[in-house]
Amino acid sequence: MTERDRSIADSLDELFPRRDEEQGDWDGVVADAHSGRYPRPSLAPTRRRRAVLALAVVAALTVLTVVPALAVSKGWWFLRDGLAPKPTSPVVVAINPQPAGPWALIAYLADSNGRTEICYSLTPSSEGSSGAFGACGPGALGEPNLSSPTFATGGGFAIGPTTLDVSVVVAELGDGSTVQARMATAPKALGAPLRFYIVEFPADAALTQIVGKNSEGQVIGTITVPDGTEMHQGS
Amino acid sequence: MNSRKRRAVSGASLIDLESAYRGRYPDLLRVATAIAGSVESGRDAVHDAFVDLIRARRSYRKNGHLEAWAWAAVVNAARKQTRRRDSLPLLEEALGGPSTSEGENDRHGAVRAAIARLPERQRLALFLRYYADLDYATIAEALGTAPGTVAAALHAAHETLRQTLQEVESND
Repeated sequence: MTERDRSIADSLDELFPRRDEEQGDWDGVVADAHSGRYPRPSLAPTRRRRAVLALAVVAALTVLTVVPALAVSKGWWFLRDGLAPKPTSPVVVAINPQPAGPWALIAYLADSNGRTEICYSLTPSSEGSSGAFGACGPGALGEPNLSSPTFATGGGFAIGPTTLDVSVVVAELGDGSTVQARMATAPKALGAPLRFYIVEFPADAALTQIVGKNSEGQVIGTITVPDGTEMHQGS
Repeated sequence: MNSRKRRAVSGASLIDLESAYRGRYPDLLRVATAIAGSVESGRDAVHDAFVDLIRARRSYRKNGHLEAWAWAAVVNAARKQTRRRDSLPLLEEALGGPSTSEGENDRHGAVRAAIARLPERQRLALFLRYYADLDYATIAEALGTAPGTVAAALHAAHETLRQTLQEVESND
């Protein structure tokens, strides 16, 4: 028989109430578990920042699946072309688990004149860097009082970072229809508490707005996409 | 004899761990928060614990209980969080902090202080019993002790807390 005292139980309930609204982040746990660069508690932050650049394969949307034949071994175009800022964090990678539509999202932190930026790019096919696009910027969708979160769009995709408060991102198209984004939680190795959305929409459709909502369906961030935006680099 | 043949290593599946995580997350978070002293640290502790569990799942032995294995990892991760947050245990700060509720009376404040003063084993057993509703055997496995020790620890914790409650009520 296991004993429970009602008055003690009541007191304990008040001390730390049960938070049923929290469901955790299993995808993030799996991603970090498979990340060779998941920072260990014993590593000081400064040492963590100096960690050698590493590719950490991330289970983004579902449990980690077979990596499609993307140009992983050839290096990411975003880093190869010499124009993108140098990473100050490990590069994290999210792979679409569906073989029918392979894409890879990479993200990392970079320093821009003393300001930390998040850089990210999407390679939408298995054909090398064809159609790839990306951006760098300081603000994530969902940050309070932020007028222009960074985002990027190209070839029927829109991508960008969000705060962890954003659990759903919906893209609105010119014909009034909407498309819900896939979400990928960045592993801790990135060093920033972020999620990424990846919206895929018909390449000939006009993207008008990107809306971020919290778990209760409240809008907590909006991006209005200028007409004709393609391969946009927001900031 | 090859030692590997004697070991009952059979591994835990990712699905089992996901089920444990998703099925008990509010309880895991609550226990971790109570140990680590803040919700933020509690979240980190649960996260870190399951990262470690996934990585170590192939070494899990099925002659133990997966649930107890997971709770042990969460308790240890939460204790590490407490150590990482330096100096005075945050638990004592959290438990001994001022009342935030208008209607909360001295009774709860006294219980908070009493829990903060309990020996760690008693406190951990108390949290696992009340916040996770675990039975003595699972608590014992999670804390690496015997069920009898858990029973004794909970009995002692109950005595302390009941005495505290009686003192508060006699002062009213």
